[in-house]
Amino acid sequence: MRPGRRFTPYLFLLPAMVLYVGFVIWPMLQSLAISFTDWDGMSPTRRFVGLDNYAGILADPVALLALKNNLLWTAVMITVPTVLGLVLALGLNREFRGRTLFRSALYAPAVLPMAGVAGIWAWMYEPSQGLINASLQAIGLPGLAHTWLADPNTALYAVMVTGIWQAVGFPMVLYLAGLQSIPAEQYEAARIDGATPWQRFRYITMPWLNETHIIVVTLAVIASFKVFDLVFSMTYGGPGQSTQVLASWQYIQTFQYFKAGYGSALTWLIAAILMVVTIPYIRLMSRRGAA
Amino acid sequence: MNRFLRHASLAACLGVCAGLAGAQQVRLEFLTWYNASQEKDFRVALAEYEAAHPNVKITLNTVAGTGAAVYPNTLRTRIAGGQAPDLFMMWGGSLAAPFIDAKAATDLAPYFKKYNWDSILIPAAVNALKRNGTLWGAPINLRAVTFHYRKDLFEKAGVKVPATMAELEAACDRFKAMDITCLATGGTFGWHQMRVFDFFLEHTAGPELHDQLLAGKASWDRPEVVAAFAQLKKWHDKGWFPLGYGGLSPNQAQQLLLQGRAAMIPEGDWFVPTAVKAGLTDANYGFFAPPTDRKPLRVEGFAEQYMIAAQSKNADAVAHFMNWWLQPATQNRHYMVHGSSATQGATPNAAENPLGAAYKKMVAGYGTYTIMDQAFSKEQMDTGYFRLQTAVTAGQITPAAAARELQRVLQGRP
Repeated sequence: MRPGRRFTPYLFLLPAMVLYVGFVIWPMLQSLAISFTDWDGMSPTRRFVGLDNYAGILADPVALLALKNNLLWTAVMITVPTVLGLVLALGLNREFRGRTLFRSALYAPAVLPMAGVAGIWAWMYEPSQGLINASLQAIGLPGLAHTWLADPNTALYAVMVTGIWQAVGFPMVLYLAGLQSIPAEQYEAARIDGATPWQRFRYITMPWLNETHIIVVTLAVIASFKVFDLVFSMTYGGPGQSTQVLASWQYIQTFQYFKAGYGSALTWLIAAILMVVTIPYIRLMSRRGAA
Repeated sequence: MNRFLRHASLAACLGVCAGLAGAQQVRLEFLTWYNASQEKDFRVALAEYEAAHPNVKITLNTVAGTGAAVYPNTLRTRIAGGQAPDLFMMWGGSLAAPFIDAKAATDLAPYFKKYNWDSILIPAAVNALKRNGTLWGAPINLRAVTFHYRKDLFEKAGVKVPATMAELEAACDRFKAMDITCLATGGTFGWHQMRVFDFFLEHTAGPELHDQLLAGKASWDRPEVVAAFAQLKKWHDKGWFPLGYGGLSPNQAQQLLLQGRAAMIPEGDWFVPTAVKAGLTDANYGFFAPPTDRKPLRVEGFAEQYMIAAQSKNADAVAHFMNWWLQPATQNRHYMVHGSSATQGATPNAAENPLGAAYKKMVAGYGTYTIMDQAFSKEQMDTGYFRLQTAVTAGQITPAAAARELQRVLQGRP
């Protein structure tokens, strides 16, 4: 290969690289630089404070609560919507009348705007006129009616239920795609060999869905650490900071308390956690692409 | 030749005239949090000013709906991006402080002197806005928060406007027995709860100590603050606030009163037009200063201001507009934009706006205590004041522990 030709692919990549560096890498580096300062987000000057903002996270009880809430949110979101999505996908992978309608209906919440979802559910949780308490009273369970979003003991779980409702359609679609890639002959052979439905699920379906599991769980973890809209719209982080998550706390610190330095440090904490999850994911996907 | 000269001179004149006109044309941007009704009324005022000053064009942008929860973010982003509006609205105290400290506002002392604003503005409103002795804004109103109430529900319950705290609590008991919310409050964003707790504190601490607490001259870890937390807990436990009020927005709480499902709500003069537009009249709607059992009886108050951005290249033109706006005649003509005014002698037209006039007349008789969020930073409010109120009502900590913790949080006040 002539020496000049070696650089030809890079020339084609150059426009995209310029855009990527200018609009992704450079702002990220700026944010990293801000995280080492005490900048208020407005003043013309800023002071270098080293790692103070990062050390401050450890001493900030709300940040630690937000991290705990994110971990709890992640634990719920990688299990409940994933299992529900798989169950729904298994059901909707069968031939039956109205299958397309069910698939569309179950996926619909995933395409709704988060602010709209939050609005719908906030009204459903409204204590005196909301659908949830009214339904509990209608079926003879008034004792279970509750001030769901106003009670710090239930508010986060109430928002999580909304998150599950909104999120379940996405893993369902991914699992449906995964199920359709399993060769039918495998099931036929297993059936001839006398395998039970559970054995077919355990030894054929689940192994074939391994990559889908990784995709679903990784994306669920990423979404869980990025969660913001539902919390901000439904509870504003309250009552009494009980539903704060890292993204909402970062937003509040940066834009409401005028602590752009500390807010950037929180952003990089979220980024660091997500990198731990996403780097192996990207490597796996790259290997798969190469294969 | 003559023809050529005629054309040449005409072209030269057009060029010069256009140049002059272009040089004099001023475009200003004004950022506010006006709601739809206020915006509509203010646009009438703007049209009036622009008609009298054809070289000035003012673009109005408003961030309505969430008040201090979102508006400052929008403004901050504009300033950080070098795109500050020429003129912006702002609250006083700690809400304005970050913008002043970031040198985002213009020192208005020269304009106060030039236009002699001290002679037309209410001194208390002017003084409320000073930061370290400097005026960075001109007051546009002096708000007063009272209890707005449903006369029809009071009549139905057989209760009178309460003159003491005991009468107020007895009325709440009566409303509760009739399945009517006593005091409509929405906990989201916190400001309804803030007005209620500040009222309790005025009752338990009294005017002198309350002012000392707000000024940081007295410790919050004291029996009077414990008593205010205990009273909040009592009202919560008795069910005198709406069911699940912590998750309600202020707008949802207002609907409770407007629909006749709540007897009272802690609101300011800005709520009067809302009530009138919802169909309430003097026959079924009124307002009163909530009883603190203290002398003098005071209501919660705060000032709002217009500030000129330090980035503005047209500060003189903005000040000229502000001067027009602050004049008594202008304020009288457009009183309903704010429903209140910091200009001396400005009053709503009693014939056109009898309830607004009645409100102004009522609050004129009372002194004010500073609203909590203008005394402390938003961070201290969120992480201390509001968090502790929630913890007390949820039974997670005792009122005494809340007072101790509040003192710890507020020690680091700006």
